Amino acid sequence: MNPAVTNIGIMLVMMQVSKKLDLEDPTILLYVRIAYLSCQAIALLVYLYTRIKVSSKNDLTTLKYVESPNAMAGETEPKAVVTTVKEYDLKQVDSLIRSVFTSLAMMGFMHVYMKYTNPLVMQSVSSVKSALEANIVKIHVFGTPASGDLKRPFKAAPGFLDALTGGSGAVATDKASIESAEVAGRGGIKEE
Amino acid sequence: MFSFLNSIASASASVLNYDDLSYEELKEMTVFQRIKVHDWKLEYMTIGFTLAFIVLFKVGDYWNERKVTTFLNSQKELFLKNFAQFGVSPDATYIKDSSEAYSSYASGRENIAKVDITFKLKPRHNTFVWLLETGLSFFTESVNSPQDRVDIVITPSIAYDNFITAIVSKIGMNDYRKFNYFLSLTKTSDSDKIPESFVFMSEAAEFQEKTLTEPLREALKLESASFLRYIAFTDQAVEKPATLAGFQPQRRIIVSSHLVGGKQQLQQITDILAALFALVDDLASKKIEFKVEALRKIVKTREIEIAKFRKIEDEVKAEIKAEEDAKLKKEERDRVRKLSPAEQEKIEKKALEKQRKKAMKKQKVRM
Repeated sequence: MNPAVTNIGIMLVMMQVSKKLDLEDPTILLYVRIAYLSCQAIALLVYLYTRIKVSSKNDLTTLKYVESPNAMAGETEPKAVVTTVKEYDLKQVDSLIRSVFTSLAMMGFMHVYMKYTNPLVMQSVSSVKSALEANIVKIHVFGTPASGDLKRPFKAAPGFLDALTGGSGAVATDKASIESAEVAGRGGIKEE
Repeated sequence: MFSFLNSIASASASVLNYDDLSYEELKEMTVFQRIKVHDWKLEYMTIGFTLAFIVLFKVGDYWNERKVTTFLNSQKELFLKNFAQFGVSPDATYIKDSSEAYSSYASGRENIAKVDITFKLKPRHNTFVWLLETGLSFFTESVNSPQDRVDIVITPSIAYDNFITAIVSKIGMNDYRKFNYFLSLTKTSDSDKIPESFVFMSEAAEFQEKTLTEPLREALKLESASFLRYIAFTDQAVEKPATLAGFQPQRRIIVSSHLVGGKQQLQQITDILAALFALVDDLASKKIEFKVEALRKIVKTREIEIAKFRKIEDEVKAEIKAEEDAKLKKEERDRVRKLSPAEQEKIEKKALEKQRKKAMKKQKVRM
């Protein structure tokens, strides 16, 4: 099933659950907190396990693609990326791990500072769900072959910001655009 | 020493507390007594942290210097065999620019003008920066994780053709392309002539094949990719040129590596350097020569790059000119506004007349 659809389903269910729960009760609150934190820990462990798997596979196949320019960073021309499958996968996992920490920080602000409890209930299941649904986890943990939708580079679902900035966020993998972008001399940024 | 002072402080603190004593009582005491009852906790902490910082600085500083000397000593034999001078002066092999930057030098060999060796190390002497940079590098791309690096740049003294070709480690190769202008002019290709942990990045297959001499091929091992960053022949700059002069070819051979200390790893670097020194001789004796078509292609790509640069430069110039024109026009308008109404009318009439004449001319042409 489409993950976006199931996400909405889970959200609706969890909204009802959080209505039923008496979040003023300190014991229930404690359990909710424990549930939230353990769900984050599970998600993190899944990612770390994937990371170990990626490193041990050490797939050095060369992977080339062209990233469309990032309008937010003031780029105007497409950028060729030359990497290996291993490095690409590690980058994917690392960005997922980062997102766990960002959501932890956000939740820390919302819950500790603003005293909201509802988001704790909602976020707990969905973080594990998104961990198990991540492309990279599917490939390395569940052994789904990396073809079709899971063919690297992954196609990102068009986001809200892309529509605003006009960038499609898409990657090109056709030979012609790779060959022209690869030798375009766009490197040479000053290194610190 | 501190435990001794501490025991005095705690002993006297149990008897008397500085803050509890009145001005008169303090006045009664001798200086020594007052020192004894004073609370020195903050001072101990300050001194403690300062000392810890100094010790950490010295340890990190020494650690970095050790890494550099280990590396230079391992290459000494090869350099002394090849060069008349190894080191920055007869009695110093290297210069310490800072605790994290060192450089060395070699000169005096046939076909090679000089070899520059530059080291860039982790800020081990500054523990807090080191930890902070390492942590931040995971979360943002704008902070590079600190690394130990050595760049060896061989500048031949012979005339040979301009071209770019490199053997690049697959680990981190996208970053190398990002930070090296010359690598971003090349095409990446796998090859079964080198270990699968390396790729060729070159302007034409011709160059990568002819510069891969037998000793160089043998020196490359599958595991060298874990520390060796790249071996590059280039005539173009590392940073993208900001001036036309920056496109001036400067032929050199760059070996960039992480600074390692293992005996085997150092031996591999020695083998690579020895192979490269021999390769320069082959270039000088014309044992390695390239096809004319390949060289013609290089000339063309250089011209294209310069044309691209000129185009950008012209665009910038045009923009500046447009801005200046707009400014002049505005000044003129302001000047007119300040004149008397009669004079303003006169100028307006003149402008109208001019317009009318122009329109008439156009009509005439059309007729």
